[in-house]
Amino acid sequence: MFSRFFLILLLTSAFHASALACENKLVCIEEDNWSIGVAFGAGARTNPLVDGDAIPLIILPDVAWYGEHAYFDNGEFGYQWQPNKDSTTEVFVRTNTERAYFAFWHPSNIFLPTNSVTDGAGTPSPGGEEDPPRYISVDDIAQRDWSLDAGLRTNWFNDNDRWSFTVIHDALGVHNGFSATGRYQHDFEWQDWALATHLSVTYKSSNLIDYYYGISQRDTSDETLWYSAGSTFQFTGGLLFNKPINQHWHWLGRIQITSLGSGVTDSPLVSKRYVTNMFFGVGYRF
Amino acid sequence: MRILLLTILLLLCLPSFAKEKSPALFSAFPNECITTRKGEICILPITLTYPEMSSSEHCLHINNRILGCWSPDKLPTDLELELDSDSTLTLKSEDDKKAPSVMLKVKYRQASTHRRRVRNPWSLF
Repeated sequence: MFSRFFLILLLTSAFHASALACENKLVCIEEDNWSIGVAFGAGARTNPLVDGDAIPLIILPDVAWYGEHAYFDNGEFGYQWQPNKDSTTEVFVRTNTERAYFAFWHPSNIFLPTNSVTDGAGTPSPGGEEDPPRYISVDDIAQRDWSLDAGLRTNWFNDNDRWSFTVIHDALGVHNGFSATGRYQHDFEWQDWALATHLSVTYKSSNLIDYYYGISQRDTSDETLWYSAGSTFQFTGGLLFNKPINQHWHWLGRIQITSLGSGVTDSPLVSKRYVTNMFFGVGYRF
Repeated sequence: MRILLLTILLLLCLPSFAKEKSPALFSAFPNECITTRKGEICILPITLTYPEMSSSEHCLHINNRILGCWSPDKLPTDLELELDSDSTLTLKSEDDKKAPSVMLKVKYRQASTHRRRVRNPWSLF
């Protein structure tokens, strides 16, 4: 259905994603020029999984290119139309990030494997009998695969505000799920700082959530841990800031927090309700 | 008194009348091309004026790309150039050490070719 829709959109659209007067250095890019940067600093993305360690952020790349219609922006390949000066629509593909929590840099994958299946939740009951473990470690479940998102996004904006609505579907048939996101971003400047704040709400389908956070026979024979995940709403808020030091170097930072929603947090695989993503450092733009 | 003032005025003006007519310089008119946006080819019809030249063959170059060579009396006075960015038109000859040039500028109606990114910078992870 999605591919047919994208094809119709491609064939019927004669609009050019033309350049508008875009002045904010933080969110604007010159057409037909690669924007390549690398940032050094300290930060992490927390991991909500049981025994899941935070994902360290020491070096951050920033790679983007925008042509007349096509673009590449930090892992997202897309094709954009601009039906009028206040809105754009794009189709795109990108890697789904849900799998990152299950990635290889978990310490037990690097050092020694552990036999732990609990996260301190299997505390003895007052009667002396142990409750069945309520949690299961990310080390003890079946592998989750990466998936590819195919999406459609429409943006409406003025000088400093941007509203967007995004629909994403699993392009590889890994989980056959989808998600939909409504997002608002406000860009502003304060003294030498360029800042952007954003708020968003995302609906993730049960297929998507269940594939990554559901527990079934594929993971453990212990039926008490089996969990069939339902759909969920996730809320995100964040702040991005940037101050130039000279032509190439600048200070940069970002803070973002996401509430995971009950569909995720009710899983025995998940021990945290929020994911935070922070980074502070200096960036060099070539 | 009036005669004296008129005489002084004439004497003051005399140097400018006496000055020799300055030799023509290598020039192009117009020297600016306006197009819609960066990346589009801008077609610029120009009229060229040449300085006094030796009788040897002279060549016109645009950004070091040769357009053609002519004897001085056959050099084109009207040209149509296709420019994709600011360019330098140079008149060169084997005899003349000097190679006069003119800058041809390309300007865009669309003040900014900047676009809003769909993702925030540094958002890969």
